[in-house]
Amino acid sequence: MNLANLLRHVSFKHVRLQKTQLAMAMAGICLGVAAMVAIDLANRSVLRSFEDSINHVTGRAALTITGTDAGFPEAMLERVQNVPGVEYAVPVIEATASLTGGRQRPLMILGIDVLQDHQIRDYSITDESADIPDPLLFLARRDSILLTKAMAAQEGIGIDEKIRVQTVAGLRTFQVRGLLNPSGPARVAGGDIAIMDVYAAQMAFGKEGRIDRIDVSLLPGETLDAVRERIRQVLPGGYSIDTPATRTKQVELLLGRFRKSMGFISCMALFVGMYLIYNTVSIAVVQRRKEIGILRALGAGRGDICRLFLAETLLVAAVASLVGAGLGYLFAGATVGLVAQNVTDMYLRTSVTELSVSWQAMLGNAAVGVLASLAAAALPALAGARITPASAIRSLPYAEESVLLGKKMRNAATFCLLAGLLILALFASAEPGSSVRSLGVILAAAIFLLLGISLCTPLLLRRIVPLCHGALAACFGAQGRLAGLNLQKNVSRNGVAVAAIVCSIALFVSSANAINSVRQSMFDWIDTIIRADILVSTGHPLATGGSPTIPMPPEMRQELAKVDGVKDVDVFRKTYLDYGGRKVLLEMFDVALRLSYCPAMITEGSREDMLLLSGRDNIAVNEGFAVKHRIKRGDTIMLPTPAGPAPFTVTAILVSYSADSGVISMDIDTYRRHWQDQLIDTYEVLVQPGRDIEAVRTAILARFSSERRLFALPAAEFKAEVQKVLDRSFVLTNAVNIITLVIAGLGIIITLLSSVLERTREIGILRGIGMQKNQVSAVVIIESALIGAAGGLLGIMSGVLIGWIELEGIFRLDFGESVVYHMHYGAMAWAMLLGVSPAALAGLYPARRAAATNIVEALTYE
Amino acid sequence: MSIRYAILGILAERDLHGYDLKSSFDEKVGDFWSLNYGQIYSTLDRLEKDGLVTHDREAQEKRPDRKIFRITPEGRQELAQWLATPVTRIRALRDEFFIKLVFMVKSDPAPVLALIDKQKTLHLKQMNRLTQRKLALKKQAAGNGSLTSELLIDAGLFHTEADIRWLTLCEAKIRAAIVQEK
Amino acid sequence: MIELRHAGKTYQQGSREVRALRDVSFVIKKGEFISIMGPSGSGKSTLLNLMGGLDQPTSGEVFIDGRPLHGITDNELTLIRRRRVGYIFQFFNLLPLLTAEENVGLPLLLDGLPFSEVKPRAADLLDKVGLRQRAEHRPEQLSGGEMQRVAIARALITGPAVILADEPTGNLDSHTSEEIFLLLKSFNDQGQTIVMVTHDPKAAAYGTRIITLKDGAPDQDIVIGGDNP
Repeated sequence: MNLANLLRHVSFKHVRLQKTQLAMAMAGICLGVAAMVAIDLANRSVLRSFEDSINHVTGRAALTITGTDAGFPEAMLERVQNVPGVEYAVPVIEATASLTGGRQRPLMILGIDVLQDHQIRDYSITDESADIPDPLLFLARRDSILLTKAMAAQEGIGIDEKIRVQTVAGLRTFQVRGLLNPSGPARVAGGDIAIMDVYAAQMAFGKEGRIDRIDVSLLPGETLDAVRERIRQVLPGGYSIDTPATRTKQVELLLGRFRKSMGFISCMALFVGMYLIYNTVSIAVVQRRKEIGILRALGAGRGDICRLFLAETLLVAAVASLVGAGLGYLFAGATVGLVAQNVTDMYLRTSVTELSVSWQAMLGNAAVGVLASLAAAALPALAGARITPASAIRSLPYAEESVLLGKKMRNAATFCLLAGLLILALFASAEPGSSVRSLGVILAAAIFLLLGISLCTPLLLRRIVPLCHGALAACFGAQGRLAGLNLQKNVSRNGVAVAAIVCSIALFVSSANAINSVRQSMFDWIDTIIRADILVSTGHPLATGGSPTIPMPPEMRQELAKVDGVKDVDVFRKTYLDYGGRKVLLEMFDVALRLSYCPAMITEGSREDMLLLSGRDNIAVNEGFAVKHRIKRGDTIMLPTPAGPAPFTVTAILVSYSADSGVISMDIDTYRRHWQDQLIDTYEVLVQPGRDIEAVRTAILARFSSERRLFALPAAEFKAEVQKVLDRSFVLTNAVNIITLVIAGLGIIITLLSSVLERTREIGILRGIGMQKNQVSAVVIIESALIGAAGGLLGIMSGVLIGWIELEGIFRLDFGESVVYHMHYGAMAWAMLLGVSPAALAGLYPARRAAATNIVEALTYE
Repeated sequence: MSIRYAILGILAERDLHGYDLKSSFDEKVGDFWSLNYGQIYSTLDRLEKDGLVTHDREAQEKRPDRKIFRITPEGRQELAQWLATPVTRIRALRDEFFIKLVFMVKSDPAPVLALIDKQKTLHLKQMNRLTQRKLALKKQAAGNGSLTSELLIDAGLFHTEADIRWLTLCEAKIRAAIVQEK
Repeated sequence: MIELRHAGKTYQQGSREVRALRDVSFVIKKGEFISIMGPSGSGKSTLLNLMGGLDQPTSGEVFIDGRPLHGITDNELTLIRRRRVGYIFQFFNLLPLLTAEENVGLPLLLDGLPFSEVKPRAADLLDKVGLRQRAEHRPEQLSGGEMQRVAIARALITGPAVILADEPTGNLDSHTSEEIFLLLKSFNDQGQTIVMVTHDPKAAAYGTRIITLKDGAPDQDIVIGGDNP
């Protein structure tokens, strides 16, 4: 009631007067929320699409049984089928292939038991093909394939037509026996899916005698857990028996770090938005100091004042957040493609066709925006409530200088800085994996540092500005001198403005530096590990990214070696395996050969330790894996193999950025022995010294052109392509960082605009004693630019420090790999420009206003 | 009336004969107060009659004896009492109050300040009376001639205010002088 | 009505202790019009702030209507300010964004009354101070004297126990000042207790009692009999 009166009769009147500042504050929160909503919606959509495809592909199956990615012996199928309680158990082969014509459209191949599979999955066949897909025909004719109606239409393929498909066994011709309506599995991957008989698929994808999955349905009355337990009894260890829901969960886990880092950067945008609100409310409290004093004198309580500012913030933030949620929805449309691309590049193939809109999620994000705004407004609102009526009515509109420059403040600033640095030192010296290395600790350090820097800006200004007087006078004459003096005399007001700029710029610079460090470290790493001359694979690195390619048969190694000019051929195979509930990347190569031409990035252990891998049950793991699972050199760990868990000894620890959840390296022979998987993803060809690489490359392509489509890229080109993929994965991060930058810029403009607009009277006096209009403008602009420059410099310094914190505390803690800190000088230059130019820009309007100030009015202004 | 006290004041500093008394009087307050010898001697006569002043005779060559006037203890008492009493006739403030200031003992400002205080209070009361009269005047129906009466009261108020401001200034300057001496 | 018992106030200014007020005791009775006089720095405003609950004494006691103003919470103090005290300041201290009417009604709005209820009372008071035509004007559209009348109306709207005025005409010319005092006096005649701080003797002369302050302590307490010349 009381509050409503105040809002209606006091707050709303301010809207008219402070349109500009208000609009900018709202834009800040709006953008912050929009970034959050966009990323959240995009992430949800990607997950949702995974969930959908899992559900469509698993159909009515209650349980799915999987081994390693390389598949498992088909003998297991019979065992499962005989388990009591199992209604149907059907085999599935999942493989990647691509059409040869056109743009090499990738497609997912589902190999199924045509006689049984309809018990689990529904296939709806289009009318024109209704009578054709006789299961027996499939069994009799191995080249039979079903395509989706959507893909067939897009590629211009009709029924009974023959298509060429790239498979593991090379180029194969299939005959389209029918088209699928979009229901069940045909909806997966946007329709880029084809159905084959399981046996034909085994042949075509190098999986003779093995299957990828068994889908199981239960007899009525059987419980999931009981059947699962019975199945577990008949299978060797290392198999996963999951429900479709847990498979969705696994995807969520797999994408965990990606989602977390996306979430983190969107939080960053919101955090800067929060700072904007903090800033705006602080300024409002200072500007309305007298109003607060009058209200207090007339009998408004502390609570009333505090609630008034919070209610104002609530209204503004609610409107801005709702608009932001709407804007976020629009952004999400543009973002989802990028997110899907990133996920495809880094984890699994996905194509998101539609945005999965969740009103709850959007409103939830808007609510987060409102809450964050309220939290940001709380401190200045409380400060406003503490203003005593007697002092506000009589004294100057600004907090006493003595408070800001006083001993207490100095002690607080020193304490914060020391505490921040101490925590940081503790963190840096702690062993990886110790409890000191937690997110909370590093965040505390960051907060202490930012707070300390903010608190000491007035003191720094007081110290540093006098040193620059000479230079200012030399550069700008009297105006420069006056601007410097103004800056120094109004330390309390300008200190707040500088602190605001410091924080905005620090946040921008820090994330730019952190991102740059990760990027540079990865580039350096790629440079180190790719030492072969030509890399041969079936997929272009840009098109496939990190998702599975179509592997090649082992015989190709000998055939490649025979090509004229080839000195040696190394192999590379990768697969995922379950370790501790997480998918871990398993990388295989010819260790002895690899070490002869490629320096491994070993962090613990020697070259000899690495050589111990070859042929034996030894492995090397990456730092991230070692830290996460507390594994030391010499430890023996159990890895799930198709024949059950087997012990492997860790002989070395490597640097590898291949996967977030951990990387295990193994000799290719060891892998083949345990996994019975002969396939190869990439052949890395070494060319005889003195031979023309381009000629050898052409020879390779010519040799295999009839059998399969290959990409043979010279190392430099390959690296460039991989870097392109990496850069693509930073597009979103950069986009959000740019939003952060815009919000920071808004904050800077608000701060400076308010600080200059208040000085009508002061400017009136200057004009009154004979200062020319352009001189007044010059003073205002120089002063603003100085504030911007001071904030920019301090902000960059803090940003470098906080960037390290972000890197070590957030990336390193999560990913586990050490990353070399690479500063992003370009971003820092931008930040400086950001500090100075909006400052000058913000000075421009008040400067014009100042120049146009009616002297008489300004001087009589109460 | 005040000539009595002026003479008492001068004699309180030292004994003087009539001629010197006149010179001293002129030196101190002659700027706005001129007296002839006749006035001085008649006043001295009355003071002697009241027992506030006595005289001794001083022999002179070739000339009649000179009277050297001296203040009696009663005279001193009378003077002190007068000095401590504020001026009641407001218009006469500067004349009379100034005489008092002149004869106040310079080494001891306390009585001066006390006097100023009393004087200010008196003036405040006077202003209050004038204000009350003005308010009463306002309450009556605005008859003929009430405006002129009101303006006259205003004049009195402004004069009195000026006096109070002057007294306040006196006080401030005397205090400042004390601080400086210390 | 208002009673001060050995009230004192000490400020901490940096490392220096400033005794703004030392040991002030007096009683203000209902219906009195008290002028508090004294030179700058004599503690006049501090005294007024203590009486109005804008500030609390560091020693001694202050009572309004027998209720203590010391040792109570800020919220209780605030309520007393809102309901029992009306303030008039030298610089008017109107909220520049609000209309005259809203400014007058502000204390009631703070009390949570709906504006529909506040409006007629504000209009009535504006009428009493002669500003009926100016209800919709904002302070910048009013002259100094008019602004102070709005402030007087604002001070009166809660029917306060006392009106505290701090140099109410410090910024006004003699004639406008007289009008303001006549207005205050007329409310005093209707029984409104008024305490006014001023260094202007003409202003002080409107009081029924004049208290002078010197160095943070009362110097003289002059009670003036109403009519005797």
